[in-house]
Amino acid sequence: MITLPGQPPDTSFWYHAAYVAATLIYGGYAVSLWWRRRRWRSPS
Amino acid sequence: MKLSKLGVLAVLALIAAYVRIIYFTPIEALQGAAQKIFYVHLPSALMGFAAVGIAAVSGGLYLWLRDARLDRIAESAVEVGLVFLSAVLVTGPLWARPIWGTFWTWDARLTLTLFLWFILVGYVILRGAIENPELRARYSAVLAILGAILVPFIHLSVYLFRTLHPQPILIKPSAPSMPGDMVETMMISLGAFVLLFAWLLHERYLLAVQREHASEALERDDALVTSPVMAGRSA
Repeated sequence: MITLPGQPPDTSFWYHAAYVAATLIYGGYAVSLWWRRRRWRSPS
Repeated sequence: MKLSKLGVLAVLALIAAYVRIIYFTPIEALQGAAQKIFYVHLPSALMGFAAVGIAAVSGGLYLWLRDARLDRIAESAVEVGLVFLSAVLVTGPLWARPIWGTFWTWDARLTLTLFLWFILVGYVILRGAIENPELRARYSAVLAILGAILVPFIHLSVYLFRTLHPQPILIKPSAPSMPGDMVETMMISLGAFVLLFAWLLHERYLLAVQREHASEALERDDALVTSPVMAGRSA
């Protein structure tokens, strides 16, 4: 991690990784709910 | 699943929160941009704990009233809570890596949160393993109550044990130890996560209802096929 004097450290990679991970977790779960509701609705 | 009004509202609120976090919230001087993980980590944790609380209350009420709707609420709350706690257990280590220098440490709060996550996984497995609906509801209600007992300990663990996890800076008796604009961002994010939680819980509850109706219809069909009248007709 390279830090210039008076500058905050560059930790943006971890920040982006966390937001991508959270979006995937919540988005993935919403899609799984949609898929499961569709499956139970359709006549088997 | 058509996106309901609550779903649209939750998605719009999340987009607004993300824009506020990314473009209109200052970068913390000591931690850099990684500090912004906090705006997703804390609301996810609060909603995860709320889900466990809802499951325990619904489970407790089920043991008393034996109303199947309460069991469905508990089942839905646990699954949604599991998703929120998974987000906590992923975003936490992604913050810890640049700040602590390690993804994980067997610290009291981290370990207890992981333990709660395993209890919720156990709850889901338990429900899948028991076929009798009444027995399944009873056993899972007890497990949800046991899981909820852990929540206050997780909150207090930073006071009770020597821990690396930061002390509460927002949910504490005194005023928040954050600048005003960061507190505002946190409140916007918290509001968005409350909407997301309510939407996912509602959708999960509807799925439980739908599944139960489908199972009942299947059972009726089976009973019809195996009844002597239908058996005679098919023969």
